[in-house]
Amino acid sequence: MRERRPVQQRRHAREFESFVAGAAGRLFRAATLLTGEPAAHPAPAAEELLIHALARTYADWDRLRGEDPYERTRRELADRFARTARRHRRPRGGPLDRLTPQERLVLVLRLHEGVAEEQTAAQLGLPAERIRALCRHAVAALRSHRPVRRVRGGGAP
Amino acid sequence: MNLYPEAAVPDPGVPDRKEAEARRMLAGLPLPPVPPDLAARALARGRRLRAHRRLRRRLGWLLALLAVAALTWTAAAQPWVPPPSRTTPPVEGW
Repeated sequence: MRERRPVQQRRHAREFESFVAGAAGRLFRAATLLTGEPAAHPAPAAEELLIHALARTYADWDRLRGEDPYERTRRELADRFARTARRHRRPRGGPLDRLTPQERLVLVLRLHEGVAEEQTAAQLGLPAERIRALCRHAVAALRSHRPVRRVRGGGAP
Repeated sequence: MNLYPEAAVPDPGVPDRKEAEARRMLAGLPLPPVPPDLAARALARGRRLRAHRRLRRRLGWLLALLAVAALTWTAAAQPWVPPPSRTTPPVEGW
């Protein structure tokens, strides 16, 4: 058992690294959308959020019991963001700047990640109707905001 | 299995279309460049997290073990019972 542990650890680390290599781009975009940081610039808050979520996923790597590591990381990301939402109220120049942190969270989970309404409701501890209302409101706010950033690649100054 | 597909979509049309549009807009956003050391930093932090958890678990076991030992000793030694007195009080007046 003592001898096998390093071997197993190395295998887990390899698995984790290949998982990150495949999933980091999408997860990082979700994180930048949540924190409201523009994609073109360094996004320290999103980075911190994602590293925290990934670290927790790795810490439980041998206890995932068939759970998809991507879903697990997304859950950690959303939970952490929901707990620390107050830090992300200030606009930072990202595409979802007009939305409140809660609206951003619902929008990212529902539309960016395609999580079902009931699942989102269960994860955030809110009724499904509230999720629907938040999502509708977020979409409306996004549409009213859109003409400003219709130009592709033209982020905030 | 959804037997009533028309019941599953409560409000077809405008909100759905708007949502689909927002979905496409989000999917069309460029992927931000991922910091190259992201995986390594997450790995290091995950390892630290595991080590802390293991330490906490071990401390918890140690504490539980100590508690059991203390209880066993208490049950056996019964320290609340006063020791039998060895000296007899002096008898006078005989």
